[in-house]
Amino acid sequence: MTQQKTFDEWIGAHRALLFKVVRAYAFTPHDREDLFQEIVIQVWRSVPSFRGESAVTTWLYRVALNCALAWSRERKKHPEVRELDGMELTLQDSHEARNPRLEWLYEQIAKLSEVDRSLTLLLLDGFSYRDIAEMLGISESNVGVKLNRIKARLVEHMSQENDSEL
Amino acid sequence: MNFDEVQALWRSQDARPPYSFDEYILRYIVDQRRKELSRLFFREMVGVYGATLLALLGASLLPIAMYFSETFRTALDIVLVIGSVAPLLICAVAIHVVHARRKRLEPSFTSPLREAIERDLQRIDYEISRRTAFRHMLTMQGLPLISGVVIAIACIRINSMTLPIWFGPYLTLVVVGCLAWGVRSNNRRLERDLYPRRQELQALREKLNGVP
Repeated sequence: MTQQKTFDEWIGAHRALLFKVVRAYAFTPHDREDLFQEIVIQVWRSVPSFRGESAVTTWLYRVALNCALAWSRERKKHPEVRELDGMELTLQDSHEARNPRLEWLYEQIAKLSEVDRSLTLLLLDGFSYRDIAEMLGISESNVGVKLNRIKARLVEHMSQENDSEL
Repeated sequence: MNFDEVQALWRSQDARPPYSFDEYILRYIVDQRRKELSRLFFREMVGVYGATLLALLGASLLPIAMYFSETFRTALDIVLVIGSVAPLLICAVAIHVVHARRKRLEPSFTSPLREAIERDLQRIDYEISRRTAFRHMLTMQGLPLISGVVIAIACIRINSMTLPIWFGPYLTLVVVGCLAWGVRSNNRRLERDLYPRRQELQALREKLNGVP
């Protein structure tokens, strides 16, 4: 399969994964656009290095998270808005009404550190501790401890939210 | 809402993504960036190989000029040729070594996060060591200057010119000024870019390795 065909197929099939990463790391429409383009370009450049040793989703997550963290560092250094070559409308809000619960969840994720955000995304998408450890390059026990803390924090925030709703 | 419900909510995005994108525009952007990256790569290659070519050209011109002039006869002339050619050639080799090392340490987006951070740190450390080590500064800034000064002296000698009285101090001033400018721009890059970047990466690595 050619690089272009593989790329088209993966972007088409796993767009939701990329959107999740974009939304967790970029907070304005312009930034989301910028990060999305960065990730897409990195995916395109990295397709030839895919050896099939891991699942496509795992590999895509790895590229997207590495890219998002590098982008965040660069964004902190250059907070001014970068020109997007006049093609700014790649990413359009879906017409469906936004789910307020999902919005709330993203708000909670945004409060976490950059590393914890990566862990949370992987946890919510159901990756095993082993997969997460491999993706991040840390031990499984470290993943376990970190995730337990994150889970506890999320559950605590959720219960607070539930109480305030009542 | 419990954790399983949160996970179900999260996964609902797979079926109903919050965004959509125009595939034609996306393909156009990827295409544009590809062209931009090729241009950058070409420019980098022109820089690396162009510098080598210029160094070789400069290194070959002076011996030729001295060979055809009547002055290429004394031991001082041979010293002048070696003094101008050798720094340029060393510089050309150094440019290739730095380029190859930088290429090896380029960020990899397909590695595990920790590996990517480590690699980025190694790249920053290399840049810092390059900019703080005396031998690197001597190679990249001192040698071209030495070569320039030797070539200037050789040219004066070939043309049998008598030097004006201000020439010596002027040349010294130019050399010192160039070195000072080089040191200053090095320090600025270190302070504004490399040290903060290293700190940030170290903090990120600690966060990743450490237990919250």
